[in-house]
Amino acid sequence: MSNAQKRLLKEFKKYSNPNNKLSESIISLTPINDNNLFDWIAIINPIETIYKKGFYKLSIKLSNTYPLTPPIIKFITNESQIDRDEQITYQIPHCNIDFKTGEICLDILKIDNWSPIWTLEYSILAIIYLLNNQEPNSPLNIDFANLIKLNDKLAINSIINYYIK
Amino acid sequence: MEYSRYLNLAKASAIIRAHQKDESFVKDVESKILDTIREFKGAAFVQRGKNWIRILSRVVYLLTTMGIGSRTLGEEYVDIRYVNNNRNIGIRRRLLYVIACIIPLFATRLGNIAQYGKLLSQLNLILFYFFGRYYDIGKRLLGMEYVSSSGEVSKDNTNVGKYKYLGMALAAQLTFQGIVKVKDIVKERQKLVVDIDDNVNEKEHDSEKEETEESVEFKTETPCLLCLSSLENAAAAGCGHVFCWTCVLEWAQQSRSCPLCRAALKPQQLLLLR
Repeated sequence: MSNAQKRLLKEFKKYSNPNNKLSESIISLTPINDNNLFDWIAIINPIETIYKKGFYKLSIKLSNTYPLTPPIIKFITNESQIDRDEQITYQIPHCNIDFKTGEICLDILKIDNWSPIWTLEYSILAIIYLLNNQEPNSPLNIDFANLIKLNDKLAINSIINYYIK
Repeated sequence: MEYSRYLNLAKASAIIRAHQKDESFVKDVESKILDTIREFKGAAFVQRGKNWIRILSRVVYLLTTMGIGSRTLGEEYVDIRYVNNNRNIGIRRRLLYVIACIIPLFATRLGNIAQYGKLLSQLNLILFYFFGRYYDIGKRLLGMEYVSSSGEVSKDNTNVGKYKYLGMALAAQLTFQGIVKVKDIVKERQKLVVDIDDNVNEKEHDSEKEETEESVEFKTETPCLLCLSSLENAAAAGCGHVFCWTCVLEWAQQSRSCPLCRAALKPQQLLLLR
């Protein structure tokens, strides 16, 4: 068993232990199926942010070099019609998240700033933190970054809530 | 012994080499079986059944080599074979040896007896270092002795390549451990006597117990933050943070900062803690 598998198995055990509570914002954090620990799904409800009404789905892909390399985490924005869940919001307007692909621009998830002590849970929490701390100077969603720069709270909130189901 | 006129007894070094070779082949078989089972049943299942898979792979390896009457790959490698009372070792005895390999599976249930088994195999090792012949306790019990089928027959068969000094060191260690254990037992007995003498002490004893339990918990709950398992060969970085040696070395080759505090981290500054 490779080091990555061992470590992911430890994390899996931790998250599936009912005595161990995840953060309230994380609804679930599990591998897609038991046989493949390199492919996870997280569902978040970022209650302490301006996105608090929405449930979002994240895909987490890991390589065999984890935890030496960061996980690749994306918001799921292009789920096929069959798999779509009524509860989940598939569009997220955020200046550091690509609106079409769901790609996330977060420095600690890049290889130069990643640290192997971060687990999947911490990575998700970092993303939730990013939701409320938008960084309009390195945007992936330029239109939304402009709103953030103008600090037009009414527009920001109404756009976010427009997409939430 | 009759056969010694025609054949050399296997050298201790050859026996060790044969065993090591076999061990590596068993590992090979094990990893293949693990991969296969993981494919079908998932990683969680494999993690739970690790013990019996290890023994299963050993049995598979021995059955397919020794079980069908040929030599194991390790024995072939150093060219040694069994003899016993001038005859080849029969298939029945070989099978008995294979079956004996399953015993460790029940070791956890046997509890205390498992400890004696460990002691017995250690004693066997000491005997092996002194006199050669049986590296494995099962083989000693079944009288499966090796001869080397290559090389000239030497007149005096005393040249079996013994590891006398290694045996002595091991024996010394064992006796020392024994002494410490006996001392512990004696101490515990005395404590018991004191406890019975005055029951007032009982409460204090209880609180002491709790304390020790807490400290044990603390020990098991400080894993290496990189692999999340218990620390293996603990190594300290320059900043004082402790990780497994292999984990932190792997990281240090890629990045030159401590995973915890991002202080500069040079691989040559890693300090192995003993």
